[in-house]
Amino acid sequence: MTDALDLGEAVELGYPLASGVAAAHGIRLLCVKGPILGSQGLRDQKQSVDVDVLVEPAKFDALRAALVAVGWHQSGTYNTPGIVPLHSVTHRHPCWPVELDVHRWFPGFLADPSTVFEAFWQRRTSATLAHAPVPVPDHVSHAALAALHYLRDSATAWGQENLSQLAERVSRWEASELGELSDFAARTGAAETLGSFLVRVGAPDAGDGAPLVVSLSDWSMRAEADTQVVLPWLVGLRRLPWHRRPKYLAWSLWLNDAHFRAQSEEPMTRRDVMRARWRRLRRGLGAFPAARASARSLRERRAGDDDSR
Amino acid sequence: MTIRDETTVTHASDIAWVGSPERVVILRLSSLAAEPLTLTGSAAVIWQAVSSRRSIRDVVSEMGEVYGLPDEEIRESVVAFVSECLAQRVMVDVGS
Repeated sequence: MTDALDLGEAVELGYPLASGVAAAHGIRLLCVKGPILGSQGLRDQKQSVDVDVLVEPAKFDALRAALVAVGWHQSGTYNTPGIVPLHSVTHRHPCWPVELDVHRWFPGFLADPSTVFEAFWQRRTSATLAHAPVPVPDHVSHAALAALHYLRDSATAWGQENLSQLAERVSRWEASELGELSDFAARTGAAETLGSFLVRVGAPDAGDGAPLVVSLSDWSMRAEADTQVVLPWLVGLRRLPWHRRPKYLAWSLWLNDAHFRAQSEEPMTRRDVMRARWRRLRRGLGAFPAARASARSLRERRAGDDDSR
Repeated sequence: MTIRDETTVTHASDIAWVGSPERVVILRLSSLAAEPLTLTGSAAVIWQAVSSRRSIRDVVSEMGEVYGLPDEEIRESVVAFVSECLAQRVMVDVGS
């Protein structure tokens, strides 16, 4: 009675699975993005390629352990730098052709992650996926999450196109819903990161809200960067004091064997690891000029913004 | 257990499932480490016929119409499939 799952089946069943694992351990979790955005009228219905969940930050590790216990292993290593702090990890199962991304927060919500989760949780509702009820954000909070997801890549055609489509839909909302969107942005530290989107859809000014614990400049750098190859390493390097930079540089060039093994679907010999390491170095060298130019341009823009304040 | 014509069954509440006319995949939410069950052909058709409570008599009658076969020929297959689903706890007997 068992057969290989296809991607569509895996995505739709993956949400109740994650929700079921969380419920079995008393962990609060919300199913986000994917088919839920479509069912809430926030995008066209289209095939999603992964399953995304937002978990209460204090139970992030507990959920990951619970997923591992039912065969969903952590995929990849998470010791490489990002412009914004680590916000999610990916789990995979050998029989499921889909990745399960567990988020403890989403970039762009700059308030304390627990505060952000509580704001989402208070506005939760239920959706039916694979004939099973799952907890999801309501359409207002979900629109904020989707907008930040697209704004994060606003330097790309993908981000711009999806943001335009979302804005077109949200701009048709009632004034009361737009007011709720602004309130939600203020409560979650997203008044500034969502500012341009709120103006675009005709929502009122969000004003001040929750104190910010995540750097706005990191978010801006991530959203404005036109490349994600090599650039996070350069940003990571600049953030370090001089005395720690040589070790960081050596690590960034070489990485450890576990990093490459975790990226591979197949077992790797030492020779395979060395080949992968050289391929990565060649790719990095090729991408370096663009990343350096991007880093310089972002620094200059930041300096210009600071001068104009 | 004995399955009679008046036995009424439906899906268990602790499952998630996706389906097309030809194929159904069932996930047992109370047994998440287990692999999903895949049903094809007539099994998928019967599964979808019991989305709401249905008696074995009704299911046999519906399958007879779908496949153009007499009820007596269909009944044995329906009962065998429903028995398996009850054993796997993806269906429940909700009485007569």
